[in-house]
Amino acid sequence: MEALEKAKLALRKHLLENKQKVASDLEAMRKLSKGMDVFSYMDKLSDAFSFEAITTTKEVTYEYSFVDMDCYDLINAISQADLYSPPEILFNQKTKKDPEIASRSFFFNTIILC
Amino acid sequence: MPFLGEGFYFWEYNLDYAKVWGRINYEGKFFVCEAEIEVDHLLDGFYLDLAGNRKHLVFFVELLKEFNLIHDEGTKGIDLCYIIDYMRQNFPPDVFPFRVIRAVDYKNDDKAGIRIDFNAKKDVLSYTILNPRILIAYRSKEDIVYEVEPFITFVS
Repeated sequence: MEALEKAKLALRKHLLENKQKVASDLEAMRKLSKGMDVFSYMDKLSDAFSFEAITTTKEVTYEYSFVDMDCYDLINAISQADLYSPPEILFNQKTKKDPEIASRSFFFNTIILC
Repeated sequence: MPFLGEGFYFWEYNLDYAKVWGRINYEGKFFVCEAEIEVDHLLDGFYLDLAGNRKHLVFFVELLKEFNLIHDEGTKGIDLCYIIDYMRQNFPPDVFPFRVIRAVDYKNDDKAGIRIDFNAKKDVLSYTILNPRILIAYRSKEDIVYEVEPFITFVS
């Protein structure tokens, strides 16, 4: 059975078993509530896309330290991140040594060939 | 009490409104953190989409109508945040198992919104809105699955 169906049956069972308690709780919540009930929400869902969002208010920049930031796990994520380290460079000790040619003689030979 | 009860909230792809929210509610002293999150919408009883899933909407309204069994008024006049929190905290887990809820937030203002008519018929007002303000509420932080961890997008 889907969770949706299960939920309805479970709710019905609970309501019937705790009728008085739930009724008084609902009344208490009604007093706390200030705005629209859920059915108004559903009725007006198609009007629910407001657009006062974009404003031209002047932005002020604040400099916060990292410890002031209330970001979920951000600081931990940064501190736990692996630091990049370059791969180990292995020098081959057995590399054949180039023949020693004096730079002066090399350029001299090149010039002669041209 | 916030929109959909206690929890952790995201504005869905809406940096502009996140800034407005910060200015209004935190007097301009806020950070906006952006993240990519993944919601397991296939896990039965985990995700309730009141913004884009008609099946979920119909179910939720039916669920609330059950309250009329014990009182004529049912949930009339009770804010959504209280109902959700109440069901989570006082009822068996099967009644309201949903850990993530998605819904549209709106202001009751006819002039608000990028509103566009479907056609030119004068006698029928038929339109759509191009900038829905959608929020996603997680009951607990542990349920949030990040594709990309939060990072600061904007400081103001």
